[in-house]
Amino acid sequence: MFEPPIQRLVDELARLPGVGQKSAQRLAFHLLNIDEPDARRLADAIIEMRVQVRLCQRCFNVSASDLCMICSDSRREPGLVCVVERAQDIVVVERTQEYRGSYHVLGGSISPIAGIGPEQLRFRELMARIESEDITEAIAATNPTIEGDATALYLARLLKPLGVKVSKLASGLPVGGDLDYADEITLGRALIGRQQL
Amino acid sequence: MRLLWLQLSDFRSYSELHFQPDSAVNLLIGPNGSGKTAVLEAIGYLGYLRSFRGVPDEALVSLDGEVAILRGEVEASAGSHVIGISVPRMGRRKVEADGKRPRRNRELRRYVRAVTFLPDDLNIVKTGASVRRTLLDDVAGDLHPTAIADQSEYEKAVRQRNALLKQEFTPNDQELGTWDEKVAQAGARVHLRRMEVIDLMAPLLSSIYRDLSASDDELEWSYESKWASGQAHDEQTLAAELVTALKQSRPIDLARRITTRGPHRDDPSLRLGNRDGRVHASQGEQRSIVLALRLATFDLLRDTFSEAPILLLDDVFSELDVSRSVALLERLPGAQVFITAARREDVPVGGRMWDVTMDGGQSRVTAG
Repeated sequence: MFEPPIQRLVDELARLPGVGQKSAQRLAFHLLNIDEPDARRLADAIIEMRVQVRLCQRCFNVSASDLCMICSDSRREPGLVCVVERAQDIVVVERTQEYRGSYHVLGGSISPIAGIGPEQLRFRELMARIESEDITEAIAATNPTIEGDATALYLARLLKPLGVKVSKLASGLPVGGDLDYADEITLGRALIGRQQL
Repeated sequence: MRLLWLQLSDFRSYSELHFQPDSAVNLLIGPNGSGKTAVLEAIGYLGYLRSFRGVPDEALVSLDGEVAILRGEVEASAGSHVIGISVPRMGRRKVEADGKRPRRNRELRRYVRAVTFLPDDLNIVKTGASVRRTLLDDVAGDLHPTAIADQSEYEKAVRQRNALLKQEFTPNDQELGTWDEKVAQAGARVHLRRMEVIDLMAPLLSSIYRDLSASDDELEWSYESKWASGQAHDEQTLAAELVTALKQSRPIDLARRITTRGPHRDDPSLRLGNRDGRVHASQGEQRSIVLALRLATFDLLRDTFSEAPILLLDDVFSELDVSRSVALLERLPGAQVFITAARREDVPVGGRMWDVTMDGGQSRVTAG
């Protein structure tokens, strides 16, 4: 047990994901040594982010205004949506510079064991967008897990009857890597999805 | 494959064991409860990461220990590997191969392959289908480590579907249909692997059984499935068959809140000259069936990898008559074998003797 002000911070930090008691203590003692303005800047940054950032009303990406930066960009291709589990995934897809459509954040993946069904995810909001935005193609960029796959399958079941083209990301080999570093499952998927030359 | 050495600490009744077995036949002799089977169990655990006694990991930690540690080096034609595993009473197990965490635990199957004969093997013939399904799945995993991934994906998908069926509200059609598809995709792969094992094993099984029993009866697998027509041999058609079956069984599944069709409900049985081995075989025939099954597995692995797996024979000779013992012994050459028995005279084969004793709650293995 530390002095109460220190202990309070340690407890708060330890609640963050990936931070255990030990790391929380190390961080707290580091913060104890920084100047007060620096401490204030960090605290303000946390509060400002929390106050200013909300969800984009269209795609549910994190955003500082009603529409996120992507949704307010008029150069984006209409009619094409990339469906992801979490807002962080958008950054990953954006980094590829290969995608020019809009996004839709579901807020997770279907997992009955965890009590998460389509009702708990933003499928209803997506369906509304399909109609109002005249979306013709959807790409499922869900995680290659059982739950992510099931979410993509569910998406296809919803959208295909509406005439929307649905695809999901291919599984395959990491580019620039060695073949013998790939695990058998990934290599097996890559074989199934092989491309004719 | 050869186990070069085995070290245990706080594993079962061993607070400490350093064991350097012979590369051929090892006889572990000692009274009941002295810790013989624990040695075999540890060897099996190195490759399969579970006890062949079907107990949870905590049961492996010695009574006054906190963490059981198993280490061993196994030599194969492709090289030798040191495997280290720590099993805590609480918390996560740690697995290392050659000092590093393997990318997937199933890689260990490549390093250690073992065929185990147990006193309660008769259950394979006598009891429910789950033992036989596990047997087929295990051999499939020995042949293809990816089969292990398919099996666990299938289990997870069925668990998810069951969770959906157990919900308070009737799940929507599309959501249930999604899990039908997911269950069917993985289920088709599990099914195909089982069929492959059955096909590969078939010729071995009938010839070994004829040798053992000196009869003309054919011993063969018969795979009963309520969803697979038996006509489909590719993943897509099989998956489509399973989707159809799941759709048909949906009212029943919803009422019983459990998935009633799929590989996890199939019944692979052993038929002897067109009779169900469970019902119609005599006690002696059942022993021969089980022995033939284990030996066919052994031969299959040896032929596939051009290398004999390690043989673990736990107290089997007391159960076998002379002719069956002889048939088993004829197949031992070439393999490293570990045999446990209460008395030396129970074992009709020579080999390196090890005395297993229990003193003050601690097991010990000494050269006999």
